[in-house]
Amino acid sequence: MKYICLLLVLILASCSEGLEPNFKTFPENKSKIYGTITFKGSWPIADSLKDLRVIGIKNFPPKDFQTAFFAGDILFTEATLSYYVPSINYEIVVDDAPLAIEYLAVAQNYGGLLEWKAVGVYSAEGEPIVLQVQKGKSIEANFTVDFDNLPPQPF
Amino acid sequence: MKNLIYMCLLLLNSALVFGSAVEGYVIDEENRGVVGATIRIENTQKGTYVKAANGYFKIDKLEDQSFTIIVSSVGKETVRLENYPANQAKKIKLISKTVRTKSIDVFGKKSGSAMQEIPISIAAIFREDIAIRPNSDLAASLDIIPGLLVTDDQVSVRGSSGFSFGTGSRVGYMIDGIPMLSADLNDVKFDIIPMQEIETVEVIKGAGSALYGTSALGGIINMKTISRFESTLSVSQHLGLYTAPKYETWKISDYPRFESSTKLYFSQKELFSDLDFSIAGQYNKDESYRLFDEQRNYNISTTLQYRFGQGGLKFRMYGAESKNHDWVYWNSLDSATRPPAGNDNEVKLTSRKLGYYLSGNYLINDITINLKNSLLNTHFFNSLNEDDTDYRESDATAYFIASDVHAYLLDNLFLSGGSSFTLNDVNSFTYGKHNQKIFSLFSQIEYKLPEFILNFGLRADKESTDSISTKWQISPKLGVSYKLWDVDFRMSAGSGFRAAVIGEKFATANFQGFEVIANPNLGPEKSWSFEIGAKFEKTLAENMFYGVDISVFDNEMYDLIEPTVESGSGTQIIFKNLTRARILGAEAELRLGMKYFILSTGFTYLDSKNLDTDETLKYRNKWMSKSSIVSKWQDLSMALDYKYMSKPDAIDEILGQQVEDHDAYVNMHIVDLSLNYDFSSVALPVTISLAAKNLLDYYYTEMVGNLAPTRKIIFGLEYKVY
Repeated sequence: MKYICLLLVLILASCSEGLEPNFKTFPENKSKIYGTITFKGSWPIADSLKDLRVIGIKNFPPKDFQTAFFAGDILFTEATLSYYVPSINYEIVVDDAPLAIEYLAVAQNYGGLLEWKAVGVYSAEGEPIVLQVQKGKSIEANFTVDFDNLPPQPF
Repeated sequence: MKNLIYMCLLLLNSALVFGSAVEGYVIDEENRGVVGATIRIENTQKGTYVKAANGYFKIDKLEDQSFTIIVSSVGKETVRLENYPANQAKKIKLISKTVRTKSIDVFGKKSGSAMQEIPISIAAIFREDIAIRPNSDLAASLDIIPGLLVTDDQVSVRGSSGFSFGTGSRVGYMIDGIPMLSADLNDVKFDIIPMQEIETVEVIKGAGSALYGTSALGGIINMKTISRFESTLSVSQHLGLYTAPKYETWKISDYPRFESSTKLYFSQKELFSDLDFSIAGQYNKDESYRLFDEQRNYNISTTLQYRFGQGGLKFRMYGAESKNHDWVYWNSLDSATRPPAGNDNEVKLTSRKLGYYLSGNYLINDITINLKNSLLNTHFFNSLNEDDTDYRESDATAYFIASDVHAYLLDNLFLSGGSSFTLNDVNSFTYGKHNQKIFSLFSQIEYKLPEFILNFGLRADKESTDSISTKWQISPKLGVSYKLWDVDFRMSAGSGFRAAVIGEKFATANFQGFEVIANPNLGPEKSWSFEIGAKFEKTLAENMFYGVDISVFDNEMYDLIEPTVESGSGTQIIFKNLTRARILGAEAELRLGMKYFILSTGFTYLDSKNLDTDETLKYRNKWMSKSSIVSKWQDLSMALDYKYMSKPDAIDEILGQQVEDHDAYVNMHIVDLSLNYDFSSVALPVTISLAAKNLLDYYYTEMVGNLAPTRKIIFGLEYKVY
């Protein structure tokens, strides 16, 4: 038994903890919101799916989409989400934390550049959940988009 | 040939001149002949081996009327008989030892050979090594062998492979001596064999194409299934749970993620007359420590074995299916337990395998004839539609037929020879419609004296893909073993080759951002392996022993096929004959038996170099160490395993364009602990087990962008119905 203990001690003494998160993708002044979106209901026809992104709005409700967009109050996922899939991962990098994201949603672009509508909101009991994003921290937010039961529109 | 006949006649004539002979039957506890048992007349150079299935032996040309003889065999207690009379065929019973010495069956010989007699590096794990550790797959069980690295279904022996996207195994994989690599990717399918069926796993380290043909570039793995059937029925279940990771950003659930495995095994000795039967099955479900990485698989196999006077037949049929999420790499080190953002999480990869093999052997006039035939169909597809760019599908069948003959030409001269034919038929969305044929001829001769063994093998393989043939591949191998001062010295030199597989030549596929491009001009890769080694083992008392095995080796590799990321693209992968490589290394193994436990530890050092660029080969670990303590005290047994691997010195930097944190590697320290308690002594046929895989919850990567399994606690129960 003493040999076993000796081996265990040697092993434990020789080990570091191995890999650890390096926070490289959001160093120092950056943070992120990430998670998984699950889709249900009937997807819109392809002609009305010009773009699909997760958006975060800093000051909610906004006056209108155009004002909020040009004021830098809306954060987007970098690329469009895949269409017609049961679920998908996303992440939004937040450069200027700490701040509050007062409205997190999946938004569908159905026409021109500024024609967007919310199709799913990160909410509890019908109310949008406010996310307090700290510097260098990440927040997980998973939610569902039900195309057959769209949320109230913010714009 | 004429000389050989003259020699036989001369020997026959000599036997007639001298009237005295020692003869008899060497049998085991079940009154079966012990083929391969050695009989020596003490204080002389005279001796022989048992060649006949009924155990008969004869040493003639003798003058005395009584002798002192020593009878020994692998795994049996040695017997010394004084005053053994001449010309009387007595029965000599050898009793099995319950010790560590094991018989193995390399080189297709019918009889087992002691490991120290074989002039190459070989490792073996046995049924009890597997049973004591509650693994749900065989790959994990192999991980205790020094010099071996098993990553997913890819096996690397002494650095033979780096990271090859799962295609083109450089290690031959066989079950009962029959090749079992898939026809399209030539990859290993570990799940085609339920674990309860395995009796022994033998691993030959170094090129072995002289005997086993293509793929045996870095080594061979041969699974031996149970051959001595008992009448038994057992069911076992284990349940594992992944503990939560230390880092918040890696947590994927508020609840533990589970893994479970259910195994069933039934066998019936002499179901009808000399017909033995077994059926085994296994179902595994793994929720995984990563998000969208759930895996399910099951397998079932049935075996019929028929024994008759001078031979036997074995038929085994099996099927397996796995359905897994199509996980390729992580999002980033920060979110190492999640697939990349934008990934379609619901894509699943289904892989089905169905096959059989039939093998037969027959002993006639001291000549053993073996016949083998097998079929392995593999079919994989993902759940996307055919018009999706990431759709992958392949249906491939490998047909194999072989015959070989083994005979003692003289008492100490053993000859093997044979031929085989393999047809790989691929009908695939991803690789197209192609077939590959490989025809082989091989021969080996072994000259054996009490202290000296010399063997030489030669194999010729002709490969053609569709209508394009490659040149004959000639693979020689020479091995010498010599016992001096109780040390078994060995030396071997042999060549290996691997024909480019259909998956490497014709792949046109997309997966998670990578695009694989076809290269029909891909040629075979070749190698030469050289090794010298020494093995020493000394028994001090019952269950007290020590032993050392040291080897130094050199693997020279030519035209190595490597997946190459096309510069500029960052994501286009093409397989090319690129590399002239050299892997120099040394391996040392120490075994120590101390009554209640056995300590074994192995160290492997590899210096791998791409000689074209003078850089270190990618994804090779310079240092490896594997240690185990196995202990048995009354009804309690324990296995403690420790694996260390240094992080690779070189990686593919260009993968960084696609895989976030592709360079996240650390030295690995992995500790596994298993405890088992057997209640059979209190008339309860139950064994319970408690185990921890990655006990220290150490975080590391073995594959690019893949966090290796985190700590898992396992509870197990086995019930042996009878």
